[in-house]
Amino acid sequence: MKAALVLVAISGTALAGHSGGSSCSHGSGGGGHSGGGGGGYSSSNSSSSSSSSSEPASHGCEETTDIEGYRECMRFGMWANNMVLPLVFIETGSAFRRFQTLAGGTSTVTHGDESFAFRVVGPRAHIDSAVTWTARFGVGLPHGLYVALEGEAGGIVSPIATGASMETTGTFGSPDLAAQKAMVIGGSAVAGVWTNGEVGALGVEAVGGVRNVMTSFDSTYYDCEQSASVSETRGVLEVRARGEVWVNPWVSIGATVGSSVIEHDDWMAGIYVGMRSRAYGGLR
Amino acid sequence: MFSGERVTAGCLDVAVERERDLDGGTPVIRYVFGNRCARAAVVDLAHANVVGRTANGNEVILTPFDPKHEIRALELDGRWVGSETLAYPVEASLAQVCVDAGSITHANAQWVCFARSGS
Repeated sequence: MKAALVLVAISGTALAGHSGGSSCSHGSGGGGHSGGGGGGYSSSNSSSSSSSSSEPASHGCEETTDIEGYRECMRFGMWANNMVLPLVFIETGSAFRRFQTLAGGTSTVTHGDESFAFRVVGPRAHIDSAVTWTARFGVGLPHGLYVALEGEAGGIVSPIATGASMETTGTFGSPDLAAQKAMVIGGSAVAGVWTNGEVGALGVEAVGGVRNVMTSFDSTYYDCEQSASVSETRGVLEVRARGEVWVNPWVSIGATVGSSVIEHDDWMAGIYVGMRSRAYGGLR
Repeated sequence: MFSGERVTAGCLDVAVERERDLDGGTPVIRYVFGNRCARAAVVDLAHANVVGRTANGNEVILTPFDPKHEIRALELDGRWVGSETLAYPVEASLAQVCVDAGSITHANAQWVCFARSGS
């Protein structure tokens, strides 16, 4: 009964919003405490204790008491908000990708009054490497299932193998086009299942979406220099495995590897940090 | 934050404190609860057993003041903490208020009692 209670505020997480309480002042009957508050908690038998409860302001509302039924700003049970709402999670990280060079797109470049059509060409079976920043927002479902939307953006980091094949000529022939850089943008829907262990979680998931590679070219036509870009979009269908360890009950860091099920030599590996609205993803 | 009488009931660490009565003698109880488990735990302040005793020994079952009908059983997330302060209107003058802290989480009874505070 005399076990000391150690309260650790969960700092640096997006979960502070689940803490109840308010910045309201407290008057009669309240004893100077905030009511309906919530926050991260750990207990131990140590003799030290400290406490903290984040207290977001209630806009335009001044409490005179924290007693339920008399207070006006906060409703009962704000400490349970994260259990009432669906489990949500966000993740951000970085991924390294290898995929076949996307070529075949067409575009035009204009020099003065002349426009030149060109097509992006690349070596057969060439593999590009890309590094992307990834972000994901998801919702947990019963039985460890989850769905998410994922986006990524980055660039090709391997030497750009694509070139331009001019399809039209002008008065002085054709411009010289040289690929400069290639950006990668992708968007996917994710469905998966995960299970929790002692220190972390493991999951498998299916990912379907699109990947767009936009290659920028510098075009030189005599002393005239212009730039042009070509986008090529392909479908993506991957299976991935992922594992993560809990940094605290609401934050994890993890790694994922995946492979395309529709393309050869198309795979990815990534790392991420994730935050969940329930302790240990609600899996324990 | 965990001031008052401390009880461990199931996954919950509960601190119960009687605060100064409201005008008219309505007792006020402050509950602070922390979930020491990784999984969610029930916090049921609507059905917590609270009993008042008058100076002559009569017992009065107390129910919390809840004009908006908000008080209900809720789940407290694992490793999470929360607090509520409830008033228990009663016509009789109470010399003592007792709270079954175990009933807050549907665990075995663990009574803690408080004499009149404040004033």
